[in-house]
Amino acid sequence: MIEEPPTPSLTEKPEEQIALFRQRFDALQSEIQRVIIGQEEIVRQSLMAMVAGGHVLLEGVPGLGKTLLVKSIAAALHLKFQRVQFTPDLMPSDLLGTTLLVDDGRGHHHFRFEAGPIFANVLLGDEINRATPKTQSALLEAMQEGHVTVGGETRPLPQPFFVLATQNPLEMEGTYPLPEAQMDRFFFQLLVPYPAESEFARILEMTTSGVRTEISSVMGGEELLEMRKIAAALPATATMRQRAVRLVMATHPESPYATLEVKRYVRYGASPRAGQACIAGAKIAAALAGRLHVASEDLISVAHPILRHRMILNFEAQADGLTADRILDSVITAARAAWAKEAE
Amino acid sequence: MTPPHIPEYERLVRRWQRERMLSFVGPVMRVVCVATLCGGLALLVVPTSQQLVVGMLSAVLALWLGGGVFLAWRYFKKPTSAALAKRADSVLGLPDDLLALSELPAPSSEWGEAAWQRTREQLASRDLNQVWPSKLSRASLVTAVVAVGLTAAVGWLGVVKLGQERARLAQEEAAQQVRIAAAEEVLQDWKEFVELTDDEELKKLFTEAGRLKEAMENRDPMAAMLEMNRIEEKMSALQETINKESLSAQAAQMAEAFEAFEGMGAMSAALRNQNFEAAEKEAEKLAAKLAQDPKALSELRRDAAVTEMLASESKTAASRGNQNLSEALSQMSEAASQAGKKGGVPNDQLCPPMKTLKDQFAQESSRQNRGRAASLSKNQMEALRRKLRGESVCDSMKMPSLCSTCAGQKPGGLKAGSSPGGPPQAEQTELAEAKVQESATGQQGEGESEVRTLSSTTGTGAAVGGGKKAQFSDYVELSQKAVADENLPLAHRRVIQTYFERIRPVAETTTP
Repeated sequence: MIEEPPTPSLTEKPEEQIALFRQRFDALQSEIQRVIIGQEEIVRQSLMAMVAGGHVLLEGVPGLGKTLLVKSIAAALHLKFQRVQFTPDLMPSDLLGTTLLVDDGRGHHHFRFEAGPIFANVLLGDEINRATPKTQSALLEAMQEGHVTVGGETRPLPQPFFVLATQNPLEMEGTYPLPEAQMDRFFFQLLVPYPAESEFARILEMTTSGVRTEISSVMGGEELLEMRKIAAALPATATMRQRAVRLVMATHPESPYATLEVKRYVRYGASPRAGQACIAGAKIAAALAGRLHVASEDLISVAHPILRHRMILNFEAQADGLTADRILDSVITAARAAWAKEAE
Repeated sequence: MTPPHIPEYERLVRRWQRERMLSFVGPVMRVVCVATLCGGLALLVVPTSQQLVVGMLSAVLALWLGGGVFLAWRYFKKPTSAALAKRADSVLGLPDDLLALSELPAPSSEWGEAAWQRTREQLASRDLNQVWPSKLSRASLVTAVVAVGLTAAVGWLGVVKLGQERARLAQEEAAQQVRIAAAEEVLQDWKEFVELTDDEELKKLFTEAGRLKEAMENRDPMAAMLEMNRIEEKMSALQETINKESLSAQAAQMAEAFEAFEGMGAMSAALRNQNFEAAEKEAEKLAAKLAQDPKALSELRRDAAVTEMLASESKTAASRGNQNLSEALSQMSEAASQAGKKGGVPNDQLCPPMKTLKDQFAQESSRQNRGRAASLSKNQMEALRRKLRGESVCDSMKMPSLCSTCAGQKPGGLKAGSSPGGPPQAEQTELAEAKVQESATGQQGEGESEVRTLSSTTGTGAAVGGGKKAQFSDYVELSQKAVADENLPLAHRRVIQTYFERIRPVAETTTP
């Protein structure tokens, strides 16, 4: 378990701290991008979620490098990495661990807790939607509280702790869609796009040349936690908080800020946890932009990955082939218009 | 109050104020244009009054003033730090830097100071005149010029209209003065009549016209009209009473009956002519004469018919509520019924009813005068009402005293040639019936009496003979009609009556 580093004096020399933050983040991303060709935005947003202390749900068709991305992140961070392939017969104890009756060879027996793969800094939950809800729910406590309870005993997880889960949006047969509570615990949902033509060519070149690129560790968990503290120290003004609230409320069909699309196609909007994620994500984005405060653009930049999996669309939206991103576009356009009006 | 923790705050505030003001110049000018255009069209199309023109011009002026005050308010109103920061961030392309600075709770903190310093550097690197220009747009400028032009045009139009309206009002005022003068003339007539007449009821009635005068002086036409209506109602009521009590309906029958009595020819003629004043005098003379010789007999012809006629008239008078007349006629009827036996009617039987008749004729004469006065006053009232309405009364009412434009230009009453409203302005005309004479003839004792009227329309003295009923147009009748029918002022009526009396020829009495 990694000890939480001493809190740096964040009120001093903010410019330098922001510069340090950006330098570390850039270094981390650069190292990962040595292996991951393209997908800069996915890598960047994955790292942002990790810096913010959130979990990421990566959604994409097979073969896009989701698993490789997660493994690369873990390698670059010099953190303990575990991978779990979620299958329908995976049990919670397979994930969390179990208590075994052990014979010490001297005729004495005692119970020993055999930790599961969840006891890692970075947990890759591959194809998480293939596990049963029972097993999926076993992750709930770990993702939110940072500890697990097995055999009546609560055991803390190592810090930092990240869950990077993947799911395949195409093969839905024999899968168990994640419940809303589980979805809400993911900081970001990232849609991994198909690589561009040039990137595809580079991927082929790299993976077929026989040369294996190794990722070296750029930083440890302490540095990551320090970056989290720097970002958290960035001020978010009352106006920004209010805008984040209205952005989240605008996803609720009964809200006065809801757009016509939201009123028509959304069944349930995002939870208050989404608002927290908005501010936290916006702070990371502001720090990455070199700003000393959160701006409206930072909120906008993290709105899609934060809100898209927290909105539950109705049947009409599915029938019309609408995605949450399309509806979020209208929400963001309306929000921008309202902010512009305030500035007149 | 400490200024917000925003660099170049004062400069940004001035820019914000100027932009806020200039952005509303166009809309304000457009409102002024539209309102002024509407006002101008209203001045051109709608019939304008002085108040409307002044109101319109005042509204346009107020609009300008209001617009100016509004723009000044826009300029001088201080922005909140958040509003200023949002606007400046938006215009200058700063990612909420100023907004964050305006809301940071501790400006002295390291983060606040760092942000302040960075924002100040960014502001210093920008030329506010380039990035945030505050100029009046061309459209607003054109609108302002149009608004000024329209206002000048409408102002000129308003002044012209105002001049026209003032001229019209002056003309109306002059017309009103003429009408008031006419009304005052009528009131003066009445005042003079009140001084001349002895009739208390008429005096009272005309004295009440003071309220009408008061209304006229107050230039309250509505009150004047109401007052006139009230007086007119009273006059109508008076006329109705007079008509009800009048002996006019019975005069012809009574005259026919009295003609049969010896010496009553003149009284009968007067009665037939509805001249109760003359009839009264004749009745007085007869009463005196009958009293001198009470035992003598007055001859009576056709006694049976006369008895019946008098009895019938007695009943009629009784049915009309005039008991005195009924009793007098009844006495005469009774005396006539015994005339055949006695060879005539004893004077002592005729004397008491004759006195009663004299009183009745005197009352009737007074009633007639009052009736004429009331009728004439009603005519004057109607003429005055028309005057106040601004209508012509020349043709309909023929009231020379109320029409200054035609006074004396038409022949006077029965061609008397004299207008009571002033000196004659036209040539005096000849009296058409200047040589009308009446003579009553009778005889003492038995024999017929007759009335002869000599009439000369051409002045040549041609005598017109005829029976007692055929001879109608005598001088007295004509003079009475002239005074009664003509719409003369009441006070002048006496003068004219006196004139006719003065020129009355000596009565020709023939005794067969």
